[in-house]
Formats: sequence, C-alpha cells, structure tokens
Amino acid sequence: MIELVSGVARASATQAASAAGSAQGPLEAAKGFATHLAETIQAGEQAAVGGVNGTMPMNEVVQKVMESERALTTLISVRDKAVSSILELTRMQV
Amino acid sequence: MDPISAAATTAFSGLSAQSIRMKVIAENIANAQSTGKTPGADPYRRKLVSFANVLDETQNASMVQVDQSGVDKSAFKVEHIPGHPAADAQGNVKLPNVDMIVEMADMKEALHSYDANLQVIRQGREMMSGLVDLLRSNG
Repeated sequence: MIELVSGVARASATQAASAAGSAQGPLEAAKGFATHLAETIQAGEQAAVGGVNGTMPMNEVVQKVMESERALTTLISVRDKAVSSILELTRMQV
Repeated sequence: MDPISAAATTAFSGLSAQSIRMKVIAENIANAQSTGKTPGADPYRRKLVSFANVLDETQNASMVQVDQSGVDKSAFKVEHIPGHPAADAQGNVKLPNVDMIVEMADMKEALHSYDANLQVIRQGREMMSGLVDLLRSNG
C-alpha cells in the first residue's frame, strides 16, 4: 500500500520534474518544487517503516507521514492542473 | 519555509514535549513509594521537567525543548516504620517527596496542552488542504 502510494508519487514527481525540465522559463522553478515534494514523500515512507519497527517516536512518524500526505495531494493537484492546461491547449482552434 | 508547515512542526515539538512530561509524571507516580535499600538511605526524589524555547533555523520558528534533568528539592516525608530495611536507628523511613494530587493536576495540564497542540495541527491541515483545493475547484 505504502509502496504503491510512493510509486505513484514518484512517478508523478518524475513526470512533473521532467516536464518542467524540458520546458524553459518559469516552469524551471517547478522542477525544484517537485523534487522537494518527492523527497518529503520518501521521508514519509521511511518514517512509516520506522513506525512499524518501533525505532521512531510515534509523533515523529505521524508528522512525517502527514507531511508526505500533504506533499502528495499538492503534487497531484499541480499535476492535474498542468494536464488540464495541456488539454486546453489541444482544444485550440487552428 | 511555509508558515503553516512551520506551525505544524512547532505543534509537533509541543506534542513531543508533553509526551516527555507525561513520561516523567508516570515515573513519579510509579515511584511514589520507592524507598532506599539501606538504613537511612534517600528514597526516590521527585523529577521535574522544564520547558525552554529553541529557535529552529530551518523553520525560523520557536520550538519547545524539554529539560528533564531537574529534581524537586523539597524535603522527604518521614514515617515511623521500624521493621523497614530503609529505617534508620530511630525506626524512621524517608519516603519520596511525591504528592499524588500535584501529579494528577500536572497530568491534567499535560493532557490539555497536548490537546491544544493537536488542535493546532488539525487546524493547520484544514487551512493547507483548503489552499491546495483552490487548484482543483476551478476545473
């Protein structure tokens, strides 16, 4: 379950990062943003493992997982927004 | 750093601080009857926590840090129990300076502080999700 979620997150983060990387200009900044979010999600995953093993205090686990969740929802929203913008472009009359 | 995230991190440091406080209260209550082992030896001394604020450079926010090295310096209770292993020549035994009522009040306060911090986290999450939802609702 966690692997699945982080897999989705990583995929979308990579997509966002590469999309931002290929485009020049203002989207360049989005690359760093996506990388930061991907790192946060990975930290959340590690924290979840730490919580299962009992090697990390519970509140730290919850904190990291919550940050990870927030990063994931932000990432998905941004991705959806980007996709809908591209769709909007394809509908342009030529 | 995002201020709402910083608020959550600060509140989490509060949760951690109250957890440690709770641990110390548990130690005090569990050892409320712990006497010394040898005649005239000192019994368990009540532990105290103190809180201090620490500036977190990465978040630029004041976190709370707990110092649990403090001890209550008030006098021990003395009871006359001649047969006790820790009784001195007069048959007096020193008992810990733990007051149950004080511990209970302290525990209640720890609980309220914990709840307050939880509420900060909850509220921050609501604000953040409201903000992110702005991206979505437009479609």
